[in-house]
Amino acid sequence: MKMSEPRRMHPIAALLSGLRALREMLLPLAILFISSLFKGEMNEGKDLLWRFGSTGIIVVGTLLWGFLAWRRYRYSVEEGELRVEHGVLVKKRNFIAKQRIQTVDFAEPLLHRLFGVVKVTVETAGGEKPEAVLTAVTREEAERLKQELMFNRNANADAVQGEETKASPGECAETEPDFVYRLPVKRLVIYGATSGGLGIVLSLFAAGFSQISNELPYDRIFAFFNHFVLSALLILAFLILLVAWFLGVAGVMLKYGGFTLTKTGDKLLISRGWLERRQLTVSMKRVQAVRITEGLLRQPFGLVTVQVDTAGYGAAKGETTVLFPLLRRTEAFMMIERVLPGFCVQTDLQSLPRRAAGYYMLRWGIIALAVCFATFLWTTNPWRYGAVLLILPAVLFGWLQYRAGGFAMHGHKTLVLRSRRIAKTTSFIPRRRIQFAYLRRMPWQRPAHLASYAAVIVSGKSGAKLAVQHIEETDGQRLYDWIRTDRKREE
Amino acid sequence: MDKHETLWQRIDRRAPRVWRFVNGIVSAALWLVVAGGVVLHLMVGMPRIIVWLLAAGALLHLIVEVIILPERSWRRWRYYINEDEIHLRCGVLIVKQTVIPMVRVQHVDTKQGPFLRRYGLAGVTFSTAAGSHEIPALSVEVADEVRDAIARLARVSDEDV
Repeated sequence: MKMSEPRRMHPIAALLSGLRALREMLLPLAILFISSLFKGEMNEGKDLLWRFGSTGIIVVGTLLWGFLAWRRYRYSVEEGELRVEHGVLVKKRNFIAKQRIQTVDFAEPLLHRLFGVVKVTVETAGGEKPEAVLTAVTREEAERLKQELMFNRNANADAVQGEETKASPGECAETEPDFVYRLPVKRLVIYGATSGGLGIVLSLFAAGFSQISNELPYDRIFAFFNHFVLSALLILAFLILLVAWFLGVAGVMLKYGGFTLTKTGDKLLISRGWLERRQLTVSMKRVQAVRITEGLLRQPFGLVTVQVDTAGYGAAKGETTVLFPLLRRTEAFMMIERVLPGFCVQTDLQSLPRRAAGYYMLRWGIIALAVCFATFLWTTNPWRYGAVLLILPAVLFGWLQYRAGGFAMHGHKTLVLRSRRIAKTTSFIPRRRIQFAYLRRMPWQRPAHLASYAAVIVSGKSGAKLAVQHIEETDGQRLYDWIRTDRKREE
Repeated sequence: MDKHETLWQRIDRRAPRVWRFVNGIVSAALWLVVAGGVVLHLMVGMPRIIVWLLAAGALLHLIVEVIILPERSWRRWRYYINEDEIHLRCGVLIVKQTVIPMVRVQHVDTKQGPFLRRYGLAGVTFSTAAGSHEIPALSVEVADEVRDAIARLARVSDEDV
């Protein structure tokens, strides 16, 4: 069948979109149902019928709506456009020119995999949400559509010229990939095990435990029993922690299982996930910055994660796309060079002036002190003195942040910023990707002639700020002046 | 701070008046809330401390936002436009100086709300792919000039974003 004929999605789409609508209505439905439970006490039989009947009608109606939505949804590829026609009550037509299409991505949530279908998302540059979503089509159909939209662009006379001329009309443009990287299972396990989730779980748990131990009526329970409860709680806590950690590891492994990065021409294709398979395409031209992240748990082992900021991708602010989940620090540059040549530069970073260390340490020291103060104010638990122990690690962490800070302007092309929030992150930003930059001086920085610098780039739908705090004021001015451009240099 | 210090422009002298006016209205609303608190205290015996807290908040707002900040903020505000970039400097306590390369500017507009119009002022907003900026209060003529200048100079290069 030709792509130019309007066609429907896989029939299972009717069921899937019906189910999704139902899931969104679950809460209101539950409220309706429960509230009707409280009302009906008078005549049982009739009420029960009404109660289940109304819920049933809503469920059936929603599923029917899903079916109608599927019936009315037709798509085709004609005259260099993806044409989508949909809408149950109001008919909508959406024509998307092939040249505007940035990515055609696949996702296979669990239910989709069960039925062997794929969800296809078509995105264009700009725009708040995906331009078109095909809830469910067969895998072959999805591949064909992608082929048609992403590679056969020049099948039409009016298509773009320039770098994309390699795909000539009619020819299957699926060329051999230039580079393929598969995440080894061993690395996947290490990636999961060193994922940051542990820290969060730990602190959450600590908070929860302090709450519980406060609530214990010490004086009313026999000392023996008290001890028994406490130790039982401790063991239970440990078990919960262990389980939470395993769950975290399993979660990450499911998400990144079978991670594959393929480079074909100027497109990077990432597919990952064991249960829910996702496939996303990143156009090299849209990469705004590369970040090499060394997590607290990974840094001691010389392991890094490589992420990219891309324009128009990622739902949330500053959401990055993982390019390499886990690499050795020593091999990172080589690997990035093969995927994004010339993007990252190996250069010495200028570290921060000595007097900046105090600022970093003081900041965390003050936060720790505030925590101590609050603890002493709110509880009389004998364990409260433990809070004092927080101060030393807090100050040490400030020191680590100070040590991580650094920057370099590599020639006229690339800005390198390094800082630590929790993980130590080195960002590589081509100068022409910097949308704007600023220098900020706090009142308490002024006597020491320090300033903070940030470069703002596009990331996802909005901007991401890449900053380095407490640098020499004169260096700040150099960074600030560096992005000044005269047009001749820009070319 | 900069070798081009003399080229930096101030925003319109009437700016603090507008800000004071707008914040004054907010302040009036806050004092109405305080009055409501007093009434509730007298009628239904709402604790006195709440009324005091409300009054303290309203007073703080009045002192900071109406009396001190507008003038200080105006005194700090500077902008400087040349053919390659736009510079902005603002912030009373935390001084922030921003540079926006002209080639990144996607869109420029003048904006005039009812309060600015009352004083014959307008703001200039311009956006990049990663967020927008504003020069808050210029006289209408200057605002139009600045807008046209930015529109003329801004040329987004095609390959970016």
